[in-house]
Amino acid sequence: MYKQKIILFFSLILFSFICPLILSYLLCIKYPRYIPAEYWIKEAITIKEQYIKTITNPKIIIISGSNSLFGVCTPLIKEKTNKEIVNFGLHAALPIEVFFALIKRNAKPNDIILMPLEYTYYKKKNNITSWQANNLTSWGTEFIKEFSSTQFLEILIKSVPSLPNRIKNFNVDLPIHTYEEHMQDKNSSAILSLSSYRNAINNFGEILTDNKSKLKNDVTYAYVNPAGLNDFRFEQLKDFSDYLAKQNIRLILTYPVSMQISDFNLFKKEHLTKIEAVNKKCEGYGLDLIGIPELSNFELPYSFDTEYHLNAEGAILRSLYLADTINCYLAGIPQEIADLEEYKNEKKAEAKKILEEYRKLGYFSE
Amino acid sequence: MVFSSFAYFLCFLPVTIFLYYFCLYKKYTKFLLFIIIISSLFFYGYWEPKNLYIIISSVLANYFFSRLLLSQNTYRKIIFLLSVLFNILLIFFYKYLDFSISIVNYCFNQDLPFYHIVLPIGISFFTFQQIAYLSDCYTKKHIASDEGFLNYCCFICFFPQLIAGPIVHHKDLIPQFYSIQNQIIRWKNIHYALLFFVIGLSKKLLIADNLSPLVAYCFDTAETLSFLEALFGSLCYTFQLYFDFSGYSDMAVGSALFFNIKLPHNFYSPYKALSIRDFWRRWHITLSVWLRDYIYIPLGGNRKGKMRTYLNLFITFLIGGVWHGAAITFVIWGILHGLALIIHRIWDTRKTKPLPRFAAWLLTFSFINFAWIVFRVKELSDLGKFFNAFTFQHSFDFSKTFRTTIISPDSLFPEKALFIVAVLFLIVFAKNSQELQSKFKKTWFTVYCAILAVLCIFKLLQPENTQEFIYFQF
Repeated sequence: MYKQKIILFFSLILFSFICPLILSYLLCIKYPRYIPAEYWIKEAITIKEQYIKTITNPKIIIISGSNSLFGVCTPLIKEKTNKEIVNFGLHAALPIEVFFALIKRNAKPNDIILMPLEYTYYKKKNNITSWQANNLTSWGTEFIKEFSSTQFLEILIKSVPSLPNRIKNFNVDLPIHTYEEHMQDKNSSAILSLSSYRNAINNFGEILTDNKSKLKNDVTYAYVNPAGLNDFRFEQLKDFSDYLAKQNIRLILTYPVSMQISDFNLFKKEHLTKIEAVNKKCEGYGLDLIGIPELSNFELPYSFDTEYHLNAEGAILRSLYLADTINCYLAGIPQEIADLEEYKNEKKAEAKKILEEYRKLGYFSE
Repeated sequence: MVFSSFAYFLCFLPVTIFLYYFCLYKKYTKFLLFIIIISSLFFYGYWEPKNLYIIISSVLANYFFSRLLLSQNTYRKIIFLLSVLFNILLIFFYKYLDFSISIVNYCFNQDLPFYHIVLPIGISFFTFQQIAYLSDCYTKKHIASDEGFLNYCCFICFFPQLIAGPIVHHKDLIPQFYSIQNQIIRWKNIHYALLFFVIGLSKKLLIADNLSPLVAYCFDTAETLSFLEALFGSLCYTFQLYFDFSGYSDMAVGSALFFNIKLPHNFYSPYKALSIRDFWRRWHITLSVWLRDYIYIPLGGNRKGKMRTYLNLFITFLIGGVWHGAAITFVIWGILHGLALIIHRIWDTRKTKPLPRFAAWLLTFSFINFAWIVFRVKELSDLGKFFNAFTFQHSFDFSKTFRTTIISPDSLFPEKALFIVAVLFLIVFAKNSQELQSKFKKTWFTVYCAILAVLCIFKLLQPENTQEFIYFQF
């Protein structure tokens, strides 16, 4: 009698575990049903990929989370470097595998991939979060083939809690539009449903908000914990870099935007040592890391609303710094600045001028 | 490796069970004890390999002392006192040294440095077990002649009870290791083991872990809590502690049953208690039995008059509080319970009409709930903050922030408040795992536990939501 109950127990567990996974596969991956998710990311990708199609020359693709979405002014860098620039800044919560998939899809020989990865990417473990599972299974099923089988199983499992919602919304269409649909009726675009950034995404797929900073002076962020860096990530980047190199595509890393706060001021030696841990890892794994870390650390008036977002003036300033970094890299010379303060002041003045010009041109939306 | 991890119940436990049953099947009964000892030491060393030296040294030293006590006729008292001193010094060094230094610094205005010694996990439990064994060796009570070193090792190191109890008496555990009746495959025990384990796992993952962030929020923002928020926070901790610890104990009982070893249960619906005395017959039963048999009764128990009885109760629970941790809050918690028991005794001797059941339950539960606040706070000043909240120094009702952050963050529906009410009903009206045992024979109960197991697996697959066991810090 007890033997049979034990068999019943394990059979029920197996059955109860497998059934939701099968349902998850059907409703989340094979035939994804609607749940609330960040569909604007998909549309931003569509716009950016459409723009890439117009470029035939070798280009520089800047790809990372939203520190590039908010911190890069494509036409400015293009003017200063005389290179085609594509801003693929998206969302820092996306798995790095999505970036890899986009690069594979859009990069061509002689392109350069510039990744100002947010520091969280260097410390993240490789498991899938619920946010990632929900978003990938809403608008990003095409990227799931980039993931390992363990991650695929994780996505299936993490999607199970969303099943009741998907069943409830079985007949609701996914709010994803093609580029043509987006251009025909911009008001229906998922991008424009971003409440904070309505109308803010320009034709290059970047957000430049001509607003004051929303951050308070006593804000704190845990950018880098040298002890928490994940070797796996660096290995992954190295493997990907080697893969691209075979197709004559170069992968380089640079520093993401960060805010100059009381416990992360890269002009202080004790805080700069936090970045040195990242530098050492990159060096150890043979990854190119360019740029001057201090120049990625911005005073709060240049920020917008989060620890990685710049406002328009900040984005212009950052783009001026990036342009110089890229030019030095292309010329094959190390970027050395004798007087950092003087250099910064020069660039700040230039950024102010450019900001005024762009305002007059009506470049910024409300 | 905690009981509620995949590493334990998908790797360690099945492998150990497989090896054990393989030996049973092949009748290699001589290897059974070795499998238990090696797997237990592996389990303990998995936390921190360096701690293996401590437990092995403790087992060897105490076994040596016990043999001396059993074989010697002279100097037995000295040997006994030395052996107890050895154990007390061991636990003092690892657990109470920094606390003692802090007291010396405070009382004598000194600035002695702290040693920051990492507490080896489970030291309080296996030390108490061995002190009890040594005491019985000294009095020559309950000691069988053929216990042997291997059986003693199994008794101390047996992994289901090694880290956080139950504190098992040697007379209950050692005979099970050499009993021939336990050296056969018993499907009934395997079945009960699975169900106890699942019930314990679901208590931990589905209830205790869901309460943990609520508790952390309330205790971290104690300064601004209103009356209802403080009550909400204290209830959350009261429930969390019970489900966490009793969940662990159920898993320990279940794990042991796989090896045909029956461990005592540590809880019997403690929050249904109608008096503080009743509570201590239901809460951490093995600890209160140990305190009674090895502290309270040797001090004289209730045989030396009223005042001495009260003093003995006070000392026993002071030691009980100190056992839980090296902090003044645990001492105060122990003192509170000691005083409560004294007051209960005085009330009992007056032979007044007993309180109505509901009033008795409410009084007992309220006291226990309040005492757990003392147990949980990190500093005495935090206790003052809760006192302010309960004496209406701030507002009465939930604040808007509390409502939106804690009670119903996603909707107007107060799902977390209802969850607390549901847990309260569960604690007061539902049957405990021992009472449910009679239902284990029924098929529907197996189905119910299978569903619970699946829910637990899905919960475990979201690691950001799982928490460590609370009683591991003791």
